Amino acid sequence: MDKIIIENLNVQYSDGIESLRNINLKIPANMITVLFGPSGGGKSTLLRTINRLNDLADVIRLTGNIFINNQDILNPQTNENELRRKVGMVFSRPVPLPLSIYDNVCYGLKIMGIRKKGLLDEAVERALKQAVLWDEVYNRLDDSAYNLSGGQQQRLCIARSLALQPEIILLDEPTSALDPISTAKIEALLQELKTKYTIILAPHNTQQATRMADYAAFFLQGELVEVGEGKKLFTNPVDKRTEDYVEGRFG
Amino acid sequence: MSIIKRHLSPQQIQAIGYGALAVVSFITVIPIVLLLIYIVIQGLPSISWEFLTNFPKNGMRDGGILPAIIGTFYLTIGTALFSVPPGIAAAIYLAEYAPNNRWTNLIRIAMINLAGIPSVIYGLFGLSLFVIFLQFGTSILAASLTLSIMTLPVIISTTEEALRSVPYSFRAISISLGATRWQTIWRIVLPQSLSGIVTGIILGLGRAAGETAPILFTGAAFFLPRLPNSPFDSTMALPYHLFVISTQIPGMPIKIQYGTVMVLLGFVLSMELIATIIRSNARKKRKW
Repeated sequence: MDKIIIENLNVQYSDGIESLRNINLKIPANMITVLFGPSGGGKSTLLRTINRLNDLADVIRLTGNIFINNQDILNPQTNENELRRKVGMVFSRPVPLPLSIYDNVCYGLKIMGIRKKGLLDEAVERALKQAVLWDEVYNRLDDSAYNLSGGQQQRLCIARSLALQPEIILLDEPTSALDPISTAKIEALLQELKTKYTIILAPHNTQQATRMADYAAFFLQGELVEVGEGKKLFTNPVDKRTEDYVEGRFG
Repeated sequence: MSIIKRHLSPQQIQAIGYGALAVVSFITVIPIVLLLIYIVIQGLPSISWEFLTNFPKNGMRDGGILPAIIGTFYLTIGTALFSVPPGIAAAIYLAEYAPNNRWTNLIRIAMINLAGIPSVIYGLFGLSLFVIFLQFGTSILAASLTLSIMTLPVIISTTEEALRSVPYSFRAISISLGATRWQTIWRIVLPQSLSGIVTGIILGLGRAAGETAPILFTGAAFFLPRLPNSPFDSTMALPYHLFVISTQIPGMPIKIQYGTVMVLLGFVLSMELIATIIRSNARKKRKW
């Protein structure tokens, strides 16, 4: 089943760089879809367009459609705040909000107007357990989130998205600032989460792309070069450019 | 081998440079320290409970300075009332909402220039707008409004700076979790920049409290035998009182002049001290 359908998407920033050109892509539900390719290829732009975080940037041209559950989320009538609750985002550097661990996790819920302590407690515990962080922090939820290690902070950021019970999780190079042990934990966590969520991951290197991809899309300079099942795309690419990149001839 | 023979090693040159800079910075501090010591030595003996709580007597040659202290207090409160809310609102608009275009650049340029206008011109402006045109008369209200206009640019620019010092990534995170811009400002940006904003407000008000020219035509009284009891009353104020007793009254005891200087300086310096404490405390607590 396709969770997200992207049709003829063009995104252009005000500095003149055409960031995405004519993208057509269907993203399957309950899988990890990997967006890979050299930097500047448009992976981040695509992620930021899917949850409309690009609304904050200087986008001068945005055409095409993105359907999530058959609703065109680029339509100005779509409520972008509701959309962002449904489509969680994790950034390349863990950025805890300057609040306690507890308040970081329930931030989105409080924004929605949920005040009941019982509901919040429950949601915080569930999200932290899902993000495999609960055992490390349950006795110091009121500590500043900045007292956590980098890897813990990034799992906190994932928990913060999960607390909103999203349908889709976007991850933009989520382990680029982490050590190998923390990276392994996050990767294992994503494998776990994909049973419940649709995950789109832009890894920071090809090795992670290879490890994680159920489905993969190769981006080069704003163009979608090739899409396919993960294993197949990495072992047996059709396009010469994909092959060159996967085998490390450029990038 | 270089042609010019080095007499000093780079380390020695560096040591001499540092030394020279240290001496120069020390020299700049000397006048301030001497001034403070001199005023404290001259003024401290005249500070007493009576001096702080009594009205002036004998053509101000005796007694205390209570009405001037109260007046400066009122003017500071009035200035805060009129300058803080619009100042913060303007700063939030400029830092968080305003697009970066010709119009907002114009606002910023206007603010920089406003901060450079001589204070007597604010006084004349206040006289014509508030005292005469709006018919507030020479009053606490007119003087506070005049001081507010003078203080606004300081408050706006320090507040804008404080808001901008909050990392952009916090805003992106908050919005990515479904918050609106305003929720983001209210829950993240303002709490994180509060200490910077408060510091800017106190510094701006401290400057306003010490100004003479803007209140000269708009609200300051030469002498009042009672305390002001409405915003439409004129009032005595420390800086203007100081001007009066230093230049307008023959045979003025020097004790009272230095005592008044000391109170005014104490008022302004303690505000700056509070601002400094707030700022350093906040810096220590900040984790990002």
